[in-house]
Amino acid sequence: MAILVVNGISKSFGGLQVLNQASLEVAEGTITGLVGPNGSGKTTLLHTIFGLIKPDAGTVSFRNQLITGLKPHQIYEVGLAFSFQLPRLFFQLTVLDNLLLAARNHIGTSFASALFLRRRWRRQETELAQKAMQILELLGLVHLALHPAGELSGGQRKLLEIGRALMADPVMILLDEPAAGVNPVLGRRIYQKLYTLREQGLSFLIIEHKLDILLDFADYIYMMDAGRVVLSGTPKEVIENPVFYATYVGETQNAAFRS
Amino acid sequence: MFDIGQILVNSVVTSSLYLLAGTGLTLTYGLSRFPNFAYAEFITLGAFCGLFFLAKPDGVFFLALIVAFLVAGFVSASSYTLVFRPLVERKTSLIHLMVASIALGYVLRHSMGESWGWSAQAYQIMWPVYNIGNVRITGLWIILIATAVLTAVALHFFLTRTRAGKAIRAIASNPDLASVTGINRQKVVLLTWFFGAGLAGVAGVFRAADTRLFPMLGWDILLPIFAVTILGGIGSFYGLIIAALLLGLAENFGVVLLSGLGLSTEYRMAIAFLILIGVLIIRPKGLAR
Amino acid sequence: MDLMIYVLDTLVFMGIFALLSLSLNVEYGFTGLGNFGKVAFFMAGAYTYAITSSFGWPFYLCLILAGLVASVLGALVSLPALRLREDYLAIVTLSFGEILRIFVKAEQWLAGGVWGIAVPSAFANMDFTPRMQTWASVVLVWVILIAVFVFLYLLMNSPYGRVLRGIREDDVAVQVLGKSYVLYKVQALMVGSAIAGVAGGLFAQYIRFIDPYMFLPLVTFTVWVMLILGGPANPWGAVVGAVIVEFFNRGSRILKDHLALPFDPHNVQYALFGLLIIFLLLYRPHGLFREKPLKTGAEAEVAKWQSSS
Repeated sequence: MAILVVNGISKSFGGLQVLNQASLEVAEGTITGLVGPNGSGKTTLLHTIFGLIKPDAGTVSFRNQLITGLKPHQIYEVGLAFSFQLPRLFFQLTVLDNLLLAARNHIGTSFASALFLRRRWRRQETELAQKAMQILELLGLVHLALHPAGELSGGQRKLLEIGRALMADPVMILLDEPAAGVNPVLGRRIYQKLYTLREQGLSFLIIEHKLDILLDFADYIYMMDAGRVVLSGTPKEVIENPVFYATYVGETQNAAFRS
Repeated sequence: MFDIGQILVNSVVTSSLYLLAGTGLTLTYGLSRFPNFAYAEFITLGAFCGLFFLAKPDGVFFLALIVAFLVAGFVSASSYTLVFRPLVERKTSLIHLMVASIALGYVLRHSMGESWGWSAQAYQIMWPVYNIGNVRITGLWIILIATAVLTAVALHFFLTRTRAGKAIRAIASNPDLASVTGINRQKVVLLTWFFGAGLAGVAGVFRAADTRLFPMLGWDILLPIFAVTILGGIGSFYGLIIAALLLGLAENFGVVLLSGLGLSTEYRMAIAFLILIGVLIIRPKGLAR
Repeated sequence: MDLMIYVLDTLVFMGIFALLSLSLNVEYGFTGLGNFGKVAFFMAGAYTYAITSSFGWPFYLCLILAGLVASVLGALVSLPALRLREDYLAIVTLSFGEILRIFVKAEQWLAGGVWGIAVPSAFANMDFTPRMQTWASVVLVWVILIAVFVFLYLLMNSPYGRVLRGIREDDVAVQVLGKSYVLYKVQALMVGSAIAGVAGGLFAQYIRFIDPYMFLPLVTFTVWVMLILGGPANPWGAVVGAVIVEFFNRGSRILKDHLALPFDPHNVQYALFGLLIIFLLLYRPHGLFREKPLKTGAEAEVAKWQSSS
């Protein structure tokens, strides 16, 4: 049963065609990987799915509901969450606030209830803070909870960026290179966490360059090249396919298996 | 009562003034990526420089233009070096850059107010008036239009034929690009701040010669100048020419329409505002793109 | 006794400008919106108060209306620019201030045009001496200031305030986390403009006569000086900034009235304010007071967690 269906997405910037009829499906409760050389259109596709970029053609549906043309906050509403490749944190806010801002159905975020339902949102804040601390525990950031996010190192920022997506209580998460910029051990730990969430029924679409990690955890892989999907299958099928090596030759092959 | 020919002449006069006054704003806005609200004061400063030469009836007008150009250009270039470049280097936010430009504007305006007083003054130079049919045109207007046309032609050649000119166009349309082509970016930017504000100073002399002279002179025409800058597309000189012509026509025909409707001609300024809002709703990148 | 008049007058102006500074703090300090036409909403409130109070309506109703009218204008004006870059919002709000002043000047039937309009005192039918009326104005202004301060403190230390601060840092990231930033920006401008409108109503009530020349862009700049000096996103900073700047503002007026100086203190003061802002932006952009982290109760949980683990 596909939870996300991407059908024939095309997108050009100026004269440059970045996506050319890209299509893929994510089955419910799976980790689906999206791989391909740099500039193959993976990030653009992920941004398009989440409404950050308007496609020239094609559709995206989530649980049989058409979500093309919706704004990112509306797509968040239907149960998706998104994590940027380069962390877009609120650098002057604390690490804790960065997570709490991602919480779903937080009563106190509306103007009237911030003023008049104080007791209710304060109770919810406490619960959400506990949840946030669990996530920080997983990411090893507990000691930094009250520090401004701007004080984090590059790797820690990346972790917080992923943490925000986890905080959003989504049905499905789109992640852009979760293991980039963090050490391999931590990278694996992140994937193990994602895997336990997958067991609980969450679905994932993940762009990843660190193929050694991804291939261990992914249920299914799509490979993109020059704006279109060129290959798909289980990790085993994909790495055994000659197209996989042909596409990756020289560029990422070595880097991907070295880390 | 209103002659179409006269309205057209008035429009061209208005457009010429906006073109001279707007050139520096659109180019520096395009290069440095923030609107310089102190720009109004460069116009005023030029006008006050003119006063040194034109306070007597036998003043030499061209001398006034040249000095206004040099002084306004110099103050602008210094303000870039002393205020804006250090701010940009500190990665100051866009809002803070705009606040700084407003603050600089107050420094300049109140210094001018202290030096020359706040009440209106006038140049003492007289202009011949020509009547062609029903159309009245003054010698000042002829010089203004000629200056604007000459500037436009000269700038066209500068922007298309010289290295520095091509660089300005390249950076203004794509700020990330210029560092690649190996031109001295700082020099080009400084040059633009100098020449652009110089033209604004010249526009100030014309404005003061046509109306009156007081410290709010530049501020009073800042809104239409921003309107033409955004209508033309920020950083685009050719867009600016078209936008200045359009706003000149819109204002002068609009004034006729306003009196026809029994509204105050003070609403002349509102025409620029309506155009500004309209552009932001329909085509926020302006005509050029 | 003459001195007392100056003190009371200064207190009223400090209160009114502290309200303006707090209102800009909502928009700029917390939400990151550069409103360069603050004076327009101040003016809208002042004229709304002047017109409605001429109908003989009670002053509190007039003040509420002043806030409402300014608030609606704030939303309407900013809407075309809110989705665009922040420089467009600056240009549109700044221009709107000019247009509103032209409108009031041109439409004499509305509020006397350039001749201005007289405003009845809020305490006209209370049998007060002029001195007591001034005292009453001081109390009225400062009571409203304290109420607004508390209201904003509560609002900004809530999940709502957290969203506003997030928008200031990165509005797209806020949208990705499920909050429509346009909605919040409009609300922030409405709240900010409403406070500015109330301040305008208080201003009209106090000085009893307003004309368009009182609402020059200089007012907007003064409010920016206050906020940048005091420290954006810190409510105490906004108030302290207003108190300091208004102290000099009133002071230079007194100097001008009573001393024959070789220069105009008003000119010198604003030229110096301009220089002050440039120096602050270069060397101390966070002003006197730094932003404080949110207090929502969540931060208390952290301590428990950190001590247990």
